[in-house]
Amino acid sequence: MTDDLHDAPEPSSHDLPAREAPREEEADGAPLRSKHVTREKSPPVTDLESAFNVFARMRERLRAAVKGRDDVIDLILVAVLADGHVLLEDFPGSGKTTLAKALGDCIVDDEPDDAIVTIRRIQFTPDLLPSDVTGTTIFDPNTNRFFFRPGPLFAHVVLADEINRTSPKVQSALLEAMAEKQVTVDNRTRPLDELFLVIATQNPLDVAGTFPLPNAQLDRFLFKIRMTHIAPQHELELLRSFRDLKRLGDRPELPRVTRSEILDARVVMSRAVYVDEKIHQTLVGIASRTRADERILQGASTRSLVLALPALQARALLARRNYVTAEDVDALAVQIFTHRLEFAPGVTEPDTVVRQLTGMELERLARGSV
Amino acid sequence: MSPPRARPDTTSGNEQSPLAWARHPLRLLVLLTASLALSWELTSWLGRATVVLGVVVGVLLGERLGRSRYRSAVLACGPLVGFALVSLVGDLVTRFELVAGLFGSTTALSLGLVLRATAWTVAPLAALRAFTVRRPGLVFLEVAFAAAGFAALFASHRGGVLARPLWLGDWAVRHGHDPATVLLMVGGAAFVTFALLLAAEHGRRTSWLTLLAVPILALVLVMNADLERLAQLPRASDRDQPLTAHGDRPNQLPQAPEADSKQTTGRGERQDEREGGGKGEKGEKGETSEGKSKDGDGRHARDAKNDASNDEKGQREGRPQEVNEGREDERGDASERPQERGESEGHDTDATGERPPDDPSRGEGQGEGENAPPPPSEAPDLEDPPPRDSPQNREPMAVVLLGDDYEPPGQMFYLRQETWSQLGDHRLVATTRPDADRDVPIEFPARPTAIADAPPEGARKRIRGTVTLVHQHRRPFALETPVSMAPARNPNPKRFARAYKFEALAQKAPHGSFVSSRVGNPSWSDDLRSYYTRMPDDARFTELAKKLVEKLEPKRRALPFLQALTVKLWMDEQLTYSTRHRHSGVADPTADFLFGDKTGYCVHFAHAAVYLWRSLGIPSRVGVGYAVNAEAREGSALMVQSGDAHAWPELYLEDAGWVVLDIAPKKILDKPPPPSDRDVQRKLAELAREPEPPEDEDTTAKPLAPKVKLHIPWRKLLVALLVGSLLVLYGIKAWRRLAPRVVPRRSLPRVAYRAALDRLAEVGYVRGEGETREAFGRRVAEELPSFATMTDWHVADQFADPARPDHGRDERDRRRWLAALATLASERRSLAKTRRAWLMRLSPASFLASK
Repeated sequence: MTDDLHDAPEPSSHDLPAREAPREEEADGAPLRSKHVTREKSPPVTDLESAFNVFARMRERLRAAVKGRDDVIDLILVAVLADGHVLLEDFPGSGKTTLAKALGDCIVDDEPDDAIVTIRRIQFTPDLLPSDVTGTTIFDPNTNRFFFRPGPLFAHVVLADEINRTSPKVQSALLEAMAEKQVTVDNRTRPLDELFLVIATQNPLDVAGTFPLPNAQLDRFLFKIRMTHIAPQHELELLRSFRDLKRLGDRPELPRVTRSEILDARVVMSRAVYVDEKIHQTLVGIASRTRADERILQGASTRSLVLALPALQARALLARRNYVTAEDVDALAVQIFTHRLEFAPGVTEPDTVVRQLTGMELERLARGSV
Repeated sequence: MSPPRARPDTTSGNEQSPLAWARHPLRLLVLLTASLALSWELTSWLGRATVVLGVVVGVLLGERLGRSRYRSAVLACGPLVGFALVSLVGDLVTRFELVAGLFGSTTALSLGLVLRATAWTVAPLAALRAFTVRRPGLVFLEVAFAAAGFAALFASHRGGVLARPLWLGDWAVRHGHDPATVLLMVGGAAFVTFALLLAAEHGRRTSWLTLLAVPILALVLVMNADLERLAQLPRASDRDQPLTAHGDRPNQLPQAPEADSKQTTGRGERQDEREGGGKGEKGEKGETSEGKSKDGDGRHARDAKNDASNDEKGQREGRPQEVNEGREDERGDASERPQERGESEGHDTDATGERPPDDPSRGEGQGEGENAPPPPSEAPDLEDPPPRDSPQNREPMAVVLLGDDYEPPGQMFYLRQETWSQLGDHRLVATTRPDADRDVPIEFPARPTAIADAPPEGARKRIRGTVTLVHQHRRPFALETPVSMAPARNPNPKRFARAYKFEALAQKAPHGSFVSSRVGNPSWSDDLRSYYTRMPDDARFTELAKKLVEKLEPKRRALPFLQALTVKLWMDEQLTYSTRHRHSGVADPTADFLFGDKTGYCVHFAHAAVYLWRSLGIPSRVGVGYAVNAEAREGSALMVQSGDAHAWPELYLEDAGWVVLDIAPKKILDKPPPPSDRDVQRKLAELAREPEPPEDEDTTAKPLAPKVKLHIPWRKLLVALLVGSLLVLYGIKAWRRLAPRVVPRRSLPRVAYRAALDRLAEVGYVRGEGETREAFGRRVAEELPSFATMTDWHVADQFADPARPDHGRDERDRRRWLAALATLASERRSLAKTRRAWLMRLSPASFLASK
C-alpha cells in the first residue's frame, strides 16, 4: 500500500480484536479516549441553513486535510448527503486514502454505545473472505456461547481499498451491504448503521490479477470519480505544510460533525430542497438520449435517475440553494451516469459522450426558459 | 464547485453523420456539373475536358488555400492574379503568329482554349472553395454558383428553344408537356437537391439560414438578368462548335418523308455548307455555281433528291466561299457587320442564292432574290442573282396561316423580315438607331410581345395569323405591319423549326386613297426625319426625280404621294428585270443600274426607288422579306418558298404608316419559274394546321402560362419583402425591449431576463451552446456585474418552488428589474468595443443571437 501517509492510528480493521469490550467500558462514564466519540447530543438540525452549516464544517476540515481536491471533496460531500457510495479511480499516491481518512476523521460518533465505529479500512486482497468483511460468529469458551464479532463494515465510513483485487464473492458481500445496508451472517441479518458510506478505490491501470467490477455492481455506486493529478501549486503547498498535515487529527480548532447531524441534514434536505418538474424532464431526457445514442450499448437505468435526485438536492444544498437548477445537473451528470453506461467498442472518451448528451438536453431546457 | 471542464461540443456529432464521408466527392460533383452546365454551350470537347480538370484542381487548390494561414486578401488576390496571367498567356498564344507558326494554327487555337478554360475554372473555384473553407457560412455562394449553372443551362430553353437535351425535349412534346416547363422543373429539382446536400454537409443552423439567401439572390437575378438575351447566347455560339452543329437544329436533320423530297435536298445542302464553309478552297466558285444551276434548270422538283449528292458536292467546294469572298473583296460590306456573321450568313445566303425567282406573271414577284431575304435572313447582296427558274426556288420556307380573310390591295402579301434604312457605303443597311424602324421585330417572341410604333389603323385591317417556319430563320417575319407577336406551339417538331403568332395591321385601302396624304410622321424628331431622307451624294438622282415630277400637272406636283407614284410608274416602264445583271464591283451599284443599263433585280429596284423618293424629301426605306402572290394562297394557308424572297421600297404616309409601293417592271429577261407545287402547299398547310384547330387560344395559353408569371413585379415584391421583414424584425426587437415594463409580474423574470440577454447580444455576449445560465452569468458578470443578480432571479424563477409565498420574491419586483436593466445599460456603455456595439444595436436581427 503506497498511500499510507496518514493512516489512522487504528490498525487494519479485519485483524482488530473486538472493540466492543473497551467501548462498553467507555459507556460506563470513563473518559472517552477518542475524539471521534462523544456522548453530548448536538442541537438538532431542522432548517436548511443549519444543514448547510453541517456540511460547510465538513468541507472546511476536508479542505484543510486534502489540498487541491476541492471538486472531489464536494462530490464526496454530496454522496454523504445523498446517502450514496463513491468509487474513486486513480493512480497510487494521489490521495484517495487520505481523503477517505479525512472524511472519517471529521465525523464524530455520538452514539458510542453501539458496535459501530467511525471509520474502517479494508485492504482488499485476492485471498480475502466474505466473513473478513462482514464479521463472523465466534465461540466464547467462557460463556460457552457463540457471539457475533462484527466485521469492518460496521462503521460510518468504510474505505474499501483496491476493491477490484479481491474475489467476486467478497465483492458481492460488500455490494449487498451497500445496497441493503445490512449483512447476513450465519443466516442472521444484521443491519448496518444508517450512516454507512463506502469509499472504494481502484487502480485503473494495474489490472493484472484483478477482478473488474461488473456494470451491475458499478451501478451501486452513486459516483465514480476519476481523480486527476492535482495542480502544481497545490502540490507545492502540500509539500510546505507536510508536517502540519501530519498532525491533522490534533487540530481541535477545526470543527467536526456528529453522525446525527448528518442524518438530520439528510432529512431536511430531502424535505426542503425543491426539485422542479423541468429538472425531472431533463433527467428523463438525458436518459432517453443515452438509450437512443448509437455509441451507447446500454442506456441509463431508471435507478440511476432515482439516485440522481438526492444527489442533485445535495449539491443544491451545498450551494445554499433550496432548489435544484440546471447547473446541478450539468455538474453531476458525468459522475452519475458515465460508469453506469455500457459504451460501444471504440468509444474512447465516455465522459465526452455523456457531457454532449447532457449539453443538448440542457440547451433545450435553457432555450425554453426565455 | 463543479469540476472545471470543457463545454460539451455539440457539433462534433456531425462528423459521424451518414453523409460525412460523401461530402467531398459530392461537392466536387455538384461544382463539376454546374461548371459544365455553364460552359457546355461555349466550348468544344477539349474545353469541356479542361473544365473538368480545372474544377478538380480548383477545388483541391481552394481546400488547400482555405486551410493555409494566408490572409483573406491574399486568398482573393491570388486567384485573381493567376486568372489574369493565364488568360493573358492564352490570348497571346492565339494572337501571335509565332506560336501558330511553330505548332500549327489548330494546336495554337486549342492551346489558347485550354489556357482560357483553365483560367476561367481554376481561379474562381479556388477562390470560392477557399473562402467557404474559411467561413462555412459562405456555403451559399457555392449553392448560388450551382444554381447559376443550372439556371443558365435551362434559361436557354425558354421561349421554346428546344436545343440541348433533345431526348428530353422530344419526350415532353410527345407527351403533350411544355418542354420548357419540364426542363425548368428538372433544373429546379436538381438545384434543390444539390442545395440541400451542400447545406447538410455543414448541418449547422447558419447554413440553413444562408439557404434563405439563395431565393433572394435568384429573385435579384431574375429581375436584372435579361433572360431572353441569355437565351439567345447559345445560338450565337453555335458555329463555334462544329461537333454540335448538327444536333442544334433537329429540324434540319435529313429525315423528311417522301412527301417532299426537296426538303431533304435543302437540308443536306445546308449541313454540308456549314462544314464546308470553314475549309473550302477559294476560287472556282463562279464556275461551279453556274454549272450547277444549269444542271438544275431542267430538273423537276421531284428529281431533286437524286441529284442531291451532286449539289452537295458543288456547294461544298464553291458556294460558301463565293459569297464570303465577294463580300469582302468587292463590296466591302462585310466590314460593316461583325466578322463572325459573315460565315453563317454566307452559308445561308448560299443556300438561297440558288433559288430562282418565283412567279413570273407578277412584276413584283421577280425581284426575289438572290441573296435578298433568304431563309435565315442573310444579308442581301447586290450581286449574284439566282436563276429565276431553278427548282431550288421552290423550297418551302414557311407556312403562314391567316386567321382573318384578307385580300391585299397590291395582290401581293408582303411578309417583312427586315428593313434597310440607314445609308451605308454602297447601299442601304439595317439601322443602328434605336429610334428607327422599331416596327420591325428583331427577335422571336418568347411571350406575348407588343411591337412599338404601330401604324394608324384607319387605312388598315387587323389580321391575325400564325407563321410556321419550315427552316430556321434568324429573325421573325410577319405580314406587314405586325403590332404584336406571341409564341405558338410547334405543331410538328420533326417538320417545322418553330411557330409563332402575329397580329398585323395590314394595308386595306388601295393606294389611290393615299393621294392627298402627307408623308412622314409629325412625331418624328428632325433628326429622324432627315435620317429617312438621307441619300448618296450623287446629284443624278435628284436631277432624274425632279425631271420626272415636272411631268405632273402643276397643281398636283406638290402632293408627295403622287410624286412617288410617278417615279414608280416611270420605273415600271423604263427598267428591265434580270437576275444576271449584278452590278457588282462598282462603287454604287444602284447608280450603275439606274444610270447604266437600267437592268437589275429587286434590290436594285428597291434602292433606286428609295433614293429617288428620298431626293424628293419623301421618307422611305427598303423592306426585305418575302412577297407571296395572292393567287398562290390556298384557303387560309400561304406557303412561303425560298423563291419568294424579295426586297421592296416603302414610304411613310402620315395616314397609314409605312406603305409598300413596289416596282413592277414590264420588261423581264429571266425565264418564268415553274409553277409552285400545290400538293406540297396543301400538305404543309395541313401539317401546320393540325394540332391547333379551334382551341387555338388554348394551345398558346398553355406554354405561356409560366411566362405570364414573370410579369409579377419582382422589384416591388422584393422591396416589399425586405421592408416587411425589416419592420417585423424591428417590431420584435422593440417589443422584447419594452416588454419588461408592461408584462404581468408572473412572466416578468422571463421577459426582463430576455431583454437583458438582448442587450448583451448587442455587445457580443452570447451564451455558448450547452452553457448553463449560471455559467454564462458568471462569465458576463466579470465585466457587467449587474447581470449576476439578474441571472439569479431568472434561475430562481425557473427552478425554485413555485408554491412559495410571493412575498419577498425579488425576481417578481418590477422596480428591481428595471433598475437592474438600467444598470446593465450603463455598464454596457463603459465597455470598450463601441463601434461594433453601435452596429449591433442598430441591427434589426441582433436579438436572434440571444438565447
